[in-house]
Amino acid sequence: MSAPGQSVSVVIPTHNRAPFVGEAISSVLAQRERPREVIVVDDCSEDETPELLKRFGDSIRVIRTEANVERGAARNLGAALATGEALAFLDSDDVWDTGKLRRQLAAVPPSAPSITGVRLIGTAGRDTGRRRIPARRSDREILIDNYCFASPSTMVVPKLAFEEVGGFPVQRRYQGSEDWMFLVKLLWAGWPVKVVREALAGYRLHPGGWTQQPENLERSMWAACQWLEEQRLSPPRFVAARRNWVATAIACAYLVRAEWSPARHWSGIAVTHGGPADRLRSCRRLAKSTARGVTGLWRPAPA
Amino acid sequence: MCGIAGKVSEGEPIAPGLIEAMCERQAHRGPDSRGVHRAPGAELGVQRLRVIDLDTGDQPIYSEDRSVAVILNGEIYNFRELRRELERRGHRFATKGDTEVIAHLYEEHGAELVHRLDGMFAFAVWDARRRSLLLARDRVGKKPLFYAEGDDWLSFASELGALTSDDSIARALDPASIQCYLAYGYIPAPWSVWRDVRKLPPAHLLVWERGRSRIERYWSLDYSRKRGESPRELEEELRRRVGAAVRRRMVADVPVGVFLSGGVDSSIVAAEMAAASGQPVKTFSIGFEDGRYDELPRARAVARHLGADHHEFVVKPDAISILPKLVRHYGEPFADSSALPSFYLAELTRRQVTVALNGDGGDESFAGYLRHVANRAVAPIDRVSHRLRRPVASAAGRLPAGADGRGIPSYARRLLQSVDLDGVDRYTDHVSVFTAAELDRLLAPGFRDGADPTRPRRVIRRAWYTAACDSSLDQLLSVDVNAYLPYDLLVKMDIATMAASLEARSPLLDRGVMEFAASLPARSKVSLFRKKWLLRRAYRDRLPAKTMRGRKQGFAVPLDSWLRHELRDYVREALLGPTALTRSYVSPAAVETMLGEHLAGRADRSAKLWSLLMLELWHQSVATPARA
Repeated sequence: MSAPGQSVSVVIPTHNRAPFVGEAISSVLAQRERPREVIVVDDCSEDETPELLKRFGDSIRVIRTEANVERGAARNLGAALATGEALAFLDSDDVWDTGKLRRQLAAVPPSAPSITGVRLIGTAGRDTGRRRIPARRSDREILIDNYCFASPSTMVVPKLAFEEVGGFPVQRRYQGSEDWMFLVKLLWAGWPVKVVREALAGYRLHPGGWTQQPENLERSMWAACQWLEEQRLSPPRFVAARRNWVATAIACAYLVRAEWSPARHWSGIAVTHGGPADRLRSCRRLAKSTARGVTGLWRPAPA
Repeated sequence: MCGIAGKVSEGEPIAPGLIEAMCERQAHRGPDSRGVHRAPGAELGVQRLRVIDLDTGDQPIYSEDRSVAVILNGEIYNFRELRRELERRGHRFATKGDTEVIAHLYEEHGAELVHRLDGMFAFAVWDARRRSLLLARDRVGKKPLFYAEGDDWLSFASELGALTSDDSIARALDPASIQCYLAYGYIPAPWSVWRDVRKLPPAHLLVWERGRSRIERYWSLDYSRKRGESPRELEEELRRRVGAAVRRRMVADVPVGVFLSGGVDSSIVAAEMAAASGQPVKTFSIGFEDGRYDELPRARAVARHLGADHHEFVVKPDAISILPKLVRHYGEPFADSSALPSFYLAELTRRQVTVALNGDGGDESFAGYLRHVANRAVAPIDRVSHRLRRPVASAAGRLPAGADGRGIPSYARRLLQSVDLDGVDRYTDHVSVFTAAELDRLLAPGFRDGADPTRPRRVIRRAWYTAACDSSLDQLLSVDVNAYLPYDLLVKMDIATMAASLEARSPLLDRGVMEFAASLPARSKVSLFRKKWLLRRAYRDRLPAKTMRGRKQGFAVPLDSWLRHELRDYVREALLGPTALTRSYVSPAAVETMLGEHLAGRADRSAKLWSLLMLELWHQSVATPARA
């Protein structure tokens, strides 16, 4: 039997990430378990990304979009060209540990979707010492609670599953939550998403990072809640819990920046959704973020 | 009630005689007439069993300008209302039957017409102007529809055997489907036993236009809006809806009867029929010469109570000669052993009537299975940490297993063993013939590692995770309605009745009844240990008290004893003999062990052995001849 890595095609979407994309690609090429191919989708970058990609020569395959289509559509484009039976994704500001693919495939064969934990790294790539490990409880909890740490940079997905659910959502209003929506669609189609409870990739926290901007959360995560409700495939209790979770996350993002007015608005929404346990939890999170906002400690740098 | 088939193509012309060959293969579905529509790039064929509009109803049916052609398998119960409405809008009708409303509704609404239909159906509409084909199946999947697609063509048929008469469809086995079959005893939609053939799932429609197709779901049960009325008001509403559903299904221009098992559901249907009809209802029951499974006395008591014209059949089943026939009819391996008594019952009933009502669907709507009570009882455990549950599960695993694997103690043991699992995995375990772990031991390594190994698990999981229900009971019911009911129960009824050219109708699967049941709070379905609480209560005055208290049995067969005695050599020869073609899938040692344990009476392996036997028979009578 051939090495399991040979069934995996890696897709890396990128847009104006010249400072990081080289490190991301190198981390894939340095894998102990070599993947079948590396496809980089240059989503119409306007910086020096195209030149940088040329330096990798034949070791990667580059396709470039004519207009910026954003990350969901870019991943789908790459996936459509992939020849492997499974797809792995990496965001161009994140990195893989050298043993990532080997350890993940040893734990879960590429015929089932899987995600792993992440280490949080800083702008310069240094480990911050913090980890985010998704819970191994029921899938439902994974999807409600681990809203952005089921990072696409850790996903391995059978191509069959990817095609069955129609890939990542491509509408612009969902970009940023497209990864979570994709996981929800996998769940609805019955695919068991396995969790490898080890941090095998570096998730970069940087001022230009998407999750650092409350406006992004507000736009895409709330739109995704709306989508969840409209599909009518999840219990109303679950939808309410998700709304509670998201509103809390948005409120917290405003609180730590000491932007009190939108923070108040979203806190109000958070505490009117979800069951008692959800609300209690959001009160705890809100209190913590308020403390951060008032003291000014750990305030994120502006973009 | 009919068999439909057809092919559309944008490329190569359709082979001459193909449609006739497809119709011929499913002629038993509708022996009364055959109709064919032929147009460039589109041919449709239908075998019709005349039930309504005996003179002018032969299909295909056309719109006024003949640009729309329709073939229908099934019945549209609300066709009279629809017809009146369409006539008011200026449509002219050429026939008196139900098929024609589809043609005119299509002109008004296009594919959206499915929302207006109430009934059991699988139909095809060919629109010559747009060169598009619409296929649709009823909300719960009472009528089957198989299809296969190529780059620029699509073929469809009511039965798998008819569809595969089309030579452009490769007959290559789908190993993942075989694994699904072994796991659950059936192959769920959209898959089939052949890699290139699909089943259209219930409540779905398919639109094919110039070589491209799209599939969408058009209906699902809503469990989120609950009723707050008092039990008395709920009972009244329930009786009103069940009564209406039964009366709607008594409309036919041929004799109508009812299958009476003596259980709650079929007795209720018979009672409503008796109330609606001026004459005694014709009731039909079956019993075996093995007293343990004989339900005849219970059915007889109900029939006497209702003053019915009761017919009883006692058979000594000749499984060896009937089984291959059933297997050929369905064309796919199918392991529900009650297909056998259902077939006998259908065949004997057909001698008297053309249409038979039944009680199917009551258990799925009103919570009639032990697993509904049991899973509800253990649902709170999902909030307890796995660390605490694990010791309970492993201790339960060490309890002694009963030899017959039946009854409350062995069920409780199985339930306790699974407390460590998540809800979805626990349910999967309960409904599995071979659990995932057993399948691992059974399958030969080469076969197990074939394509798509997670498919069996996905079958239940997709139903589980798309059940938009807040209560754990509703979630179980929703999974039953979306998996067990359409892929097992309804398939069984369709195979058994169609093989006998009898039309089955199920009032408890009426849309109004099912939507009402979904809107009931959990407490009115299951009380602590009482299943179908409201349904029993609503009819307690109209049926014998003993019937309403009775335990569930359905049309069961004495499988364990058959396999130990009458079928002993037959099974051994089939599963372990030199022609055992399935051996490339399963490890012979595992089969040998299972058979040994069963024959020695150490354990009841009857469901497992039966499913292996049916797979082997399918190979012998369908797969091998098809390949030759």
